[in-house]
Amino acid sequence: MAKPTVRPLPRGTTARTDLILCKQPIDVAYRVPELQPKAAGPWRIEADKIAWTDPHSGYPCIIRREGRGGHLAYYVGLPRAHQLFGWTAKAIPAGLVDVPGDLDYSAACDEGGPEDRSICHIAEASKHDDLWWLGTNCDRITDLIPDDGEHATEARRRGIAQAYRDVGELFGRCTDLASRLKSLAGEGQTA
Amino acid sequence: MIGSSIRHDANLAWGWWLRTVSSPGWGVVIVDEDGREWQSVRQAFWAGRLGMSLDSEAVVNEGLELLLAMLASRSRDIVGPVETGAALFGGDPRFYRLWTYWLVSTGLAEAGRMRTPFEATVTHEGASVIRMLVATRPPELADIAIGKDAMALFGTQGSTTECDRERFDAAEAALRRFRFAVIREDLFGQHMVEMLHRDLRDPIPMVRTIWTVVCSDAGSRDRLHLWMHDRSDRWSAWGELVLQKGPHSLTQLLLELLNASAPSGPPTSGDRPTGTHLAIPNRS
Repeated sequence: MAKPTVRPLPRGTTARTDLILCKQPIDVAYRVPELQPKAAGPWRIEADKIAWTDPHSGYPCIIRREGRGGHLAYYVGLPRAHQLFGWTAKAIPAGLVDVPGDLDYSAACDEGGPEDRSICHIAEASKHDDLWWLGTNCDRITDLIPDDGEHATEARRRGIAQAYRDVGELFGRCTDLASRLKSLAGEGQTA
Repeated sequence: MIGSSIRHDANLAWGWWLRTVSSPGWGVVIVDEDGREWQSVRQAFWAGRLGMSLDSEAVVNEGLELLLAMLASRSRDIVGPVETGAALFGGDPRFYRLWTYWLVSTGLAEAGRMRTPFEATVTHEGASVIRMLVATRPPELADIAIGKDAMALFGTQGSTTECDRERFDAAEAALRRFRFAVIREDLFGQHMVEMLHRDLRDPIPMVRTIWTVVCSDAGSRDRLHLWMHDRSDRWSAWGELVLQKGPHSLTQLLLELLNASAPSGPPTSGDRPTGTHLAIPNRS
């Protein structure tokens, strides 16, 4: 399996590798003007893709801003030996991986995608040759989607208060997801 | 009618007596006992034996696939008529009845004096036709899990030949055309039946798990697995359903089929033979 190569960053994108998020050194953070929401808000001071390796599980993690809407999503990369490697998100039995909104992303490394937004491990930081990524979007009715007025209107109509799920909150969720997936790997085959 | 004077052998594919010759402009053609020329054995059977039109290749393939499914179903005698009607004819009982009667009229199945067409068994010629249709399927239909190759890959539950994730993943070239497999697995303390999928166009070749159902105990899981194995000819259709409409669509379809395959009479004493039906209790 070919390792992803370091690709040139698209114009306008900036990268930093010296940041610490929630006491955790990160591998890289990208600012991608193209992904920034049009509306003003707390996201203006956030990175648009952050990649780090969770020290407890050893799994690569990514928080990324979604192109449509400008909200964030988070992902954990599983090595080939993990029992859920290759499982589509909707095939995972209910209750096995409990995340708000359920898992809605499952794919192999997007090796051909632009480095500043692809769901793929950072070549230098990861010892894994290929990974299977599981993740979820923060686009439920209780989540604020910066550039989706209709979504906010619908929430108001139902009397639901929305909140923007920022990088700090998703760091915690992503770490929890990595821990849960690691514990499942420990449970392993039972027969 | 082609083959009317032939003594059919269930061990030989239908059309074994036909000849191939080179024809100017057509390449190699099939010649029947009356000297008529056909482009393929499938065409010879469809038009020369059944008297059908060759107007549309799509209709010919569709008809032959349905015929194969009907003959395979009759041959195995595992799937009951109500479920066959639901699975193969979209639940249209008139269409299913007509096909059942027609099948007997062709001589590919026989009911005799004491049985109805719904109880007909496949004749030697019918069995011979199954062999021919399996061997001559167009590539886009070749991944349907029937025939000797499928048996070799998917094996039998509980035996050393039973297919699992590793075996499916390691299938050699000729068997990789089977894109879907239903396996049983114990994972995370749960008893599961899973559908695996292999996409040959995938840049990263890997087996994916696209559908699962968790059963309450190993016994019911094994019965569901057997029930699905008895219907391996439908795995491609089921897999495509999952890919196009999501795993819940297959779960819903299976519930419908299980309902259709459940015995409708009063509860019987004793267990049903394993591997034929799920043990679904009757409501009374």
